[in-house]
Amino acid sequence: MKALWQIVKLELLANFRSRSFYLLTAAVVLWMTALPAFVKSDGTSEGARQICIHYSLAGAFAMVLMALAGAAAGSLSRERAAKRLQLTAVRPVRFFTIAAGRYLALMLVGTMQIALAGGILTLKSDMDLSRPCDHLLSPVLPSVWEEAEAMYSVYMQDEETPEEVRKMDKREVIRLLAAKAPDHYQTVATNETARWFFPDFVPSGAVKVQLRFTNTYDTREDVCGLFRLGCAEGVVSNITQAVAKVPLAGMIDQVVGERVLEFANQGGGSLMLRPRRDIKLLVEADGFGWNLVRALLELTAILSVAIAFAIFLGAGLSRSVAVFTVVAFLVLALVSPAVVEESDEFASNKYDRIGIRLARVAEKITRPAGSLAPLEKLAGDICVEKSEVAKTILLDFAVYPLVFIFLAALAIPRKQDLA
Amino acid sequence: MRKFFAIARATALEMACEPLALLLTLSAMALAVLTPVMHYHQFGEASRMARDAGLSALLVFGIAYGVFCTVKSIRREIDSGTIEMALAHSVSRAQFFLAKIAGAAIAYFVFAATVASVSLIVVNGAEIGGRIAKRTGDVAAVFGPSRVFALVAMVGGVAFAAVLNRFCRFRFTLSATVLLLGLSVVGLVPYFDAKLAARFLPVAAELTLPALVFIAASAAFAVRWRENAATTAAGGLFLAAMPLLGNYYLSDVLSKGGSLPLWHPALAVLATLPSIAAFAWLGVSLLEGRDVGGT
Amino acid sequence: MEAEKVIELAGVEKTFRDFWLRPTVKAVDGLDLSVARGEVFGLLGPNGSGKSTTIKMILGLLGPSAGSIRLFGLSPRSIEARKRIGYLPELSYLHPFLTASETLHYYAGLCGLDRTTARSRATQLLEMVGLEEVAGRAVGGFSKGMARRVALASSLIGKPELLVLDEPTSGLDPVSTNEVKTLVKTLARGGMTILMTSHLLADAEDVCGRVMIVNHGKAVAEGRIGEIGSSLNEFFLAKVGEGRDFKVAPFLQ
Repeated sequence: MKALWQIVKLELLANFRSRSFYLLTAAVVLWMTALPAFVKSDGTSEGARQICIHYSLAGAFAMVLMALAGAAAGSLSRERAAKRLQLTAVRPVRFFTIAAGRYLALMLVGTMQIALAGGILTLKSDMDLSRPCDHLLSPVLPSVWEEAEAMYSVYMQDEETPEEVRKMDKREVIRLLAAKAPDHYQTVATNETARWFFPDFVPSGAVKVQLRFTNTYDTREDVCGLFRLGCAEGVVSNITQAVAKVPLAGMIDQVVGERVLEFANQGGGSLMLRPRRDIKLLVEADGFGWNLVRALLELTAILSVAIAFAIFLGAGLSRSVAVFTVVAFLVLALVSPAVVEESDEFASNKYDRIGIRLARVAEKITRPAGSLAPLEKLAGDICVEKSEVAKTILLDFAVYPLVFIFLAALAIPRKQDLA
Repeated sequence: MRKFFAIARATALEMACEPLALLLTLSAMALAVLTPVMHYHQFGEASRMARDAGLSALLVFGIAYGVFCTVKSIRREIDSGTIEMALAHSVSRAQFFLAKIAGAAIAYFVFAATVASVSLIVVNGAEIGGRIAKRTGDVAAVFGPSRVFALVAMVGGVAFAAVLNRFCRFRFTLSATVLLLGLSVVGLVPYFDAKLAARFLPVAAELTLPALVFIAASAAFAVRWRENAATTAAGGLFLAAMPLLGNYYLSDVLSKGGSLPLWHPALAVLATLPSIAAFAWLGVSLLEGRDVGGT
Repeated sequence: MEAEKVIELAGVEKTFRDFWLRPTVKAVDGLDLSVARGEVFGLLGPNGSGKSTTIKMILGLLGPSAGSIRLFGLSPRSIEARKRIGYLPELSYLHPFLTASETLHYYAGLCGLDRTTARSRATQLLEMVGLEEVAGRAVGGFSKGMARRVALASSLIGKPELLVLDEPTSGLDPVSTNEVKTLVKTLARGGMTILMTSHLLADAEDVCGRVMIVNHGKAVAEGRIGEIGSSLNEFFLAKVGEGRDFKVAPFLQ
C-alpha cells in the first residue's frame, strides 16, 4: 500500500506541478461560465438550462475526457522513454501497482474536474436542485427476437421484399428484423382503444404519460384521446409538439402486478406510434440535485474506462501512438452509435453490410466509453436509475479498469526499452 | 541554400518516418473512404458525402498532421541538442527555423497529395455509381469498386511496406508513406475524370493553406514552449480560427455543381501568406532570443 | 566455509531481436559470473561490450535469452530479491518536478519504509551527499553532479544488501569522484555487496576487489586486483586489444 500511495502521490504531484492541469481547470471553468453567454438560446430559462447541460457540461466533460485520456496514455510511455520507469521497476513494486497508482491518481484529478464542472452547474440560477425528475417506464412487450420470428413469414411473402434478402439465410434475416423491431409502428384507428402493459411501480408522486404520436400523413395534425391507468385519467388533444407529457389525474390503484395503460383514440384520423420508442410512463422520482450526482458518477465511470484503457496503451506503445489511439478510440466511441442507429441493412448491398457490421463491432467495443446518455437524461428530467449507476460502477470502476491495469502490468516488462 | 535544403530534407524525412504521421495519413484516408457508411447515400448523396468527407479529412487531419509533427520535430531538435550541432555548422538561426518549416511543409504536401488522390478516386467512383443507379433505378452502392480499390490500396500499401521491411530491411513508415502516395496516384488512372479533377483539386489545394499557417504557428510555439504546451496552444488557435476556415463554403461550391472562381485561391493565398510570414517572424525572433544547449 | 553467493549467472545469453523476431545484436554470449556477499566486483569492458545489458539482466529489467540468473538465490524479477537491491544508473533519470527530499521519500515509499524511517534516512543521506541545503529545491534545476548525488542517495535509501552502480563516477568532477570512491569503500567495509561498471580503470582499481573484463558479450578475463600482476590498465589492454588508430582522412592531412 505504501508503494501504491507513493506512485499515486508522484502522479498527483506531476499533475499539480504542471501548467496543463491549471490550463485544463481554467478551460473547464471558462467553458462552464462563459459558454452559455455566447450560445444563443430561445430566451427562456428552460432554453438556458438545456444549453448549460447539453453544451457546457457535455463540452467540459469532453475536454476532461480527452485531456486525461491523453495524459494517461503518456503517463507510462513518457516515463519509459525518459528511462525513469526502470528506477521504479527495480524497487520491490509490482507492475500492477505501478499501473494502478497512475490510474488512481488520474481518476482523482478527473473526478476533481468533473466535480468542479458539476459544482459550477449547480450555482447557475436556472438550476433548481429540487426540480423533480421521473423514472422512465417502458411497456412490457415480446422480445425483439420473438417479434422478428413472428414477422419473418409475413416479410418474406411481401412483394416489396428485395430478391437479395429472400436469398439470405433465415437467421440473418431474423437478426436484421430484430434490429429493426424497435421501429415497428402500431396503428390506433379512430374510436379504437390500444392497451399496453407496464411493470408494477409504487406511485410516490405525479404520474405522466410521455408520448410521441404521428398521424399517417402529417405529424402536425390534431391528436385527441383519453389515457387511462387504473382510475387515473389524462386527456390529450391538439398536440403540436413532437413529444408530449400528459399528466394522469385521479387514483392509481395499488394492485400489485402489471399495470394496463389504455388509450382511446377519439380523433379524426388513425394514429401511428412505435410502442418500443414512443410510449412511456413517467413516475416521479427524486430531485435534480441527486440526479446530477448520479449522472456525474456515470460520467466519472466513462472517464475511468478511458483512463484505464489509455494506461494500458501507454504501457505498450510509444507516447504519440498511444495518445493517437486513445483519441481515435474516443472519437469512434462517440460516432459509431450514430452509424449503427442510422444504418438500414435491408436497403444495402453486401459491401455496405460489411461496412455496417464493422460499425456495429466498433460500437460494441467502444460502448463503455461512448454513452453520453446520462446527460441526455439529466436534460430531459429523466431519472438516472440507481440500478444503472450500480451496474456502471461495477463494470466501469471495477471490471474494465482491473482488466486494463492487469494487461498494462503484463505489457510493462515486455517492452524492451524499459531498460 | 544548400544548408537550407539539407535541413529541410532531413526534416521532411524525419516526419515521414514518424509513426504518428503514418497513423494520421491512414486515418484521413479511412475517413475519406469509410464515412459514407452512413445512410445518406439512400438519397443519392454518396458523391457529396465522399467529397465532404475527403475535404474535411484533408483539412482537419492535415492541420493535426502539421501541428503534431512540426512540434515534435522542433522540440526533438531543442531537447536532444541536435540544434546545437546544426548551429555549430554556420547555419543562422533564421535559416534553421525557416528550413524546418519548409521541411514540414514538404512532408505535409505528401500527406495532402495522398488524401486528395484517394478522395478523388472515391468521389469519382461515387459519381459514376450515382449515374448508373439513376439509369437503373437502383440504390447506389456505398462500397462500389472505387471505394474497395481505395481500401485495398490502403491495406496493400501498409502490407507491402511490411514485406519490404521484413525482407529488404526498408524503413517501414517511410516505405508505407511512399507506397500509399504511389498507390493513390496510380488508382487515379482508371477513375480519372479531368472535369472533376479541375473542380476538385483547386478546392483541395486551397484547403492546404490553413495547414501551412498552422505549421508555421506550431513551429513558433514549439521554440518557446514544450511539446504539450505548444500543441495545446496550436489547438486553441485552431478553435479560435475554425469559423474562418471556410470549408463549408468550398464544399458548397462543389455541391452546387460549380467550380471555384479563379480569384478565390489567389485571394486565399494573399490572405495566408502574411499569417505564415508573421508566425515565421515570431518563430525566428523567439529562436534568436532563446538559449539553446542548456542542460 | 564458502561465502553466500549474491549474484549467480550461468551461461547467460542475450540476443536483441527486431519486430520480426530476427536477431539484431547478441549483446551477451554465454556469460558465467558469481559475486559473493561483501565483495566489490567490477564489470569492465569497452563500449558496447555488454556490461550494461548484463547489469540490466541482473536487475530484472531485461530477460535473458538463455541461461539462468539468480539474485540471493531468487529470480531477479521477484519482489523479495528487489527488496534487497539498490541501483544507480549511468544517467540520473530523476523526476524534474520533485525536490531532492521528495525524491528520496518517493523511493523510500517504494521500498516500503514507514514515514519516520524514511524521514530520518532521507535527512542522513542528503547530509551524506552534501545536499541538505538544497533539499527543498526541484531537482530539474540541479547540475549534473548534484543530480548524480541525489540518484546515489536514492539508491541507498532502502539500505540495500546489493548495490549496483553503472558508471558511478560519470559526470562527476575529480573531488566528487574521490568522495564516491571513499563512500563505496566505506559501504563495502560495512558488508554491502557492490557490483559496478566503469570506464575509468583507475577508479575500478581503487575500489574493486575482483574484476571481470567482458568484450563482445563474452568474459575474456577475471581476477582479483592484487593477483593481476600488472596495472589494471595494462591487463585490460592485453585482454581487449589496443584498438586501432584512426586513419586520418586524406582531405584532413
